[in-house]
Amino acid sequence: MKSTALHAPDQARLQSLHFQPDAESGVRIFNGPLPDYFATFGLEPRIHLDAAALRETFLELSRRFHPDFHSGASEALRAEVLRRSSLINNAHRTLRDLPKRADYLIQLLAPGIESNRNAVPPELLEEMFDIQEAGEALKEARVAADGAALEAAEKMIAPLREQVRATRTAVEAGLDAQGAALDELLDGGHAPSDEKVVAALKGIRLSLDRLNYLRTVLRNLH
Amino acid sequence: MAYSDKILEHYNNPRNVGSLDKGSKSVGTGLVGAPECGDVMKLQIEVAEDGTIRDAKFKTFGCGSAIASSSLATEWLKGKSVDEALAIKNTAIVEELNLPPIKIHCSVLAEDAIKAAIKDYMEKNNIAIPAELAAAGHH
Repeated sequence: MKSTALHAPDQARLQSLHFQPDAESGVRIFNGPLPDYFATFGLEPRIHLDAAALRETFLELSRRFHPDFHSGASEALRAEVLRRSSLINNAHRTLRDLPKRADYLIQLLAPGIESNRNAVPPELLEEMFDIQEAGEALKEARVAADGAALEAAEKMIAPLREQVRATRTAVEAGLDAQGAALDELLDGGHAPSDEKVVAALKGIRLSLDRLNYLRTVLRNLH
Repeated sequence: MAYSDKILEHYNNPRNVGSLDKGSKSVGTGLVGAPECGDVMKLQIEVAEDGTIRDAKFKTFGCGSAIASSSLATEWLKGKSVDEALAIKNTAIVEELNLPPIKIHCSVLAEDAIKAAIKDYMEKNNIAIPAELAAAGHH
């Protein structure tokens, strides 16, 4: 993954997101609406981000919001701390993985862009179907515990598995480049509704869908 | 997740698994997929001279609900006219199999596969494609 487009978390921004002093009591409470996953870490919504900075901020926030450190607080505050620590965990789990992060970014910026089964090229579907069919022979040989058939099936499957892996690598590389192009548009101040941004998001959506098919096939060829 | 008895029954004893001759003029093939989960479903119909569906076969690589939905679809297709087949709605599959909400997309996939198969058959036989089929999936 590239880490050129850095959006280092801004400490002051993080503070304001996670600690909102109550006007009357002056006690720190967190009763605002929950920030989105990127904002949770003080990051701009982008496909590529600095993995090391994300991890560092995650560890810091995890410590800060660990329920054990707030055991003496009021019930309302403890509930809010729990809500925040669960948000921090979910946000980290999503953002540390490129496909999950891209999927989330699309939902965040353009919830109207959904998986479109007609957008996936028919050749890919056919390829997936044929490979799944070949994978069946492997399963049958395993169930029958037929050594010779198993060996023959393994021989047939091995190049297919390589083929799917190679396709997956190519799609991942494409996603990487698509992500960089989108980030550049967003960095340049283009709004999510901008034609160019929408086209970029749709391209990324299609790559994610293709990855889903490839992942399912690889799982079945295992 | 609790599957209904009907889903399990179709999953354990799927009807009409297999394939028909893709090259035959009387056979229509629909191949559709669910990008959300990576499932792929192939459904084929064989249409007799009198315009009724004589045979239907499917092969689905996916979850139990997707297999049950396509198995049920092939059962329903047999003996129907092409027009009657076009009227099969995913909601009927949901009802019959008692599909849970998160598995409704499996029934949508089956309906799409039926439509794609019919469209393929119509294209092969120079039958005018109805407007509602124009957008149906690949074959």
